[in-house]
Amino acid sequence: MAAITEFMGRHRRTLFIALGLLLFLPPLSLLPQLAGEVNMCGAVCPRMFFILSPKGIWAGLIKGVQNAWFGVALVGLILSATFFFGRLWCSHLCPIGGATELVSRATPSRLKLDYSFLPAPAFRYGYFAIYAVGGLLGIGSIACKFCNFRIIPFLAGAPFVPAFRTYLFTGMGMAGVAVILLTGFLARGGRGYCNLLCPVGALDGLSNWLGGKFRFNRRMRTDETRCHGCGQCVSVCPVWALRGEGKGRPPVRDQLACLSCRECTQACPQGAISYGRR
Amino acid sequence: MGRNRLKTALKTALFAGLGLVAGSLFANFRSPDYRHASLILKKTGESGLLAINDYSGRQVVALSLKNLQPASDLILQGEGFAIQSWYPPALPLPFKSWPVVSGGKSGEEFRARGVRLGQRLPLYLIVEGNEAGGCRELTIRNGANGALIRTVHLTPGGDNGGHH
Repeated sequence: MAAITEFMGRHRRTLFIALGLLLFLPPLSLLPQLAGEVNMCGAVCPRMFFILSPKGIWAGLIKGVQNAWFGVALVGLILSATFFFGRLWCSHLCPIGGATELVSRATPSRLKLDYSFLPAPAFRYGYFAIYAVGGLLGIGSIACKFCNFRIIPFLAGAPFVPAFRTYLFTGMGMAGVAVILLTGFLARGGRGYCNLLCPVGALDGLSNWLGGKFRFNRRMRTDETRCHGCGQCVSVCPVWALRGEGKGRPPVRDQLACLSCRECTQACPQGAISYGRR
Repeated sequence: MGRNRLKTALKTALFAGLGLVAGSLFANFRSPDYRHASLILKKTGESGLLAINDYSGRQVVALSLKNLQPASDLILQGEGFAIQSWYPPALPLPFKSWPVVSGGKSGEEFRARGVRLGQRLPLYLIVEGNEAGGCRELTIRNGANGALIRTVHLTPGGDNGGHH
């Protein structure tokens, strides 16, 4: 019993990710099936309803909410939970980021790409601006192109569903797989897509940043009086949210990027990082 | 201090710009062998056009078909392309009913039973070779009585019209 408890404690986040995969991804797709879908498209799509439509912002929003009612409810729940408790969805349950992270963990280190030199929030919100208003400005719409919520479920369901294979073997499908491969499966930490391109992640990061302004909300916090500035937390962060030189000074945490995954808590030899209120 | 702030601001602006460029490139990305389209089934007997890419090789048209007419048993047929749907799920749960789909190989009819009013039926039309000037026809019939619901002409030429 103690061994099981210890195992559960050590691998808690991995077990939550596995639960997310079971709930959302084919072949089971339990929650999408409840909403009448077989994958995370259609009524379950969490990333299209907030795109500003060139046919009219309000009309587009209303239509988007009607078409993707489950996705809207899911995003509402995610953003509310993030505001009060940090990014628990992205770090613990998201089947998309979870899948890329699990594959990345199994990828040999020598093959991994390191994007930590990028100031992710700046890039992400530039990309997000085009994502949200590109169609309205006549630049073009990203919408389903390179969609992580499409590619990962299609990859998971490809052995069972011929139509998923049909999509994946088109130029559009292969381009999407390439982006997931480069920013997810082969990225250090496996969260490059989450941190740079995911529009739900961008909204969630904003909610996390906003919630971090309030003292009563739970966040990842560093006790600067205990921190020795060794930099170990910086090296394990999958979303490069911690910046510091590791020369005796505490790192700076960017709440726009922080995933609330608690990898830094486990890595800190001083026990200086905790999840809680200020 | 001031210099550091300026450096951070410039770096932020540079990478936000890079994000804008990446977003614009992604938004403009087109694949000649893939196209997304939607079709609403309303009145019976209508005919319409469906623009496909002007591409000589195999192309896939992702067709989101929304059923806004009463017939729930649909037969789709066309020459020169195969039809696939991602329904039903790989492991259907017992408490949900799904459209039952069958057939759909090139030249063979594709049948979907149990498509409720208002339900979306995602389809892939796999067009094998798109000859110049060629136009394909997709007919949608009521499986219960054979009545024509809609005829759709697949016209190569993308958004700029076509050769129909």
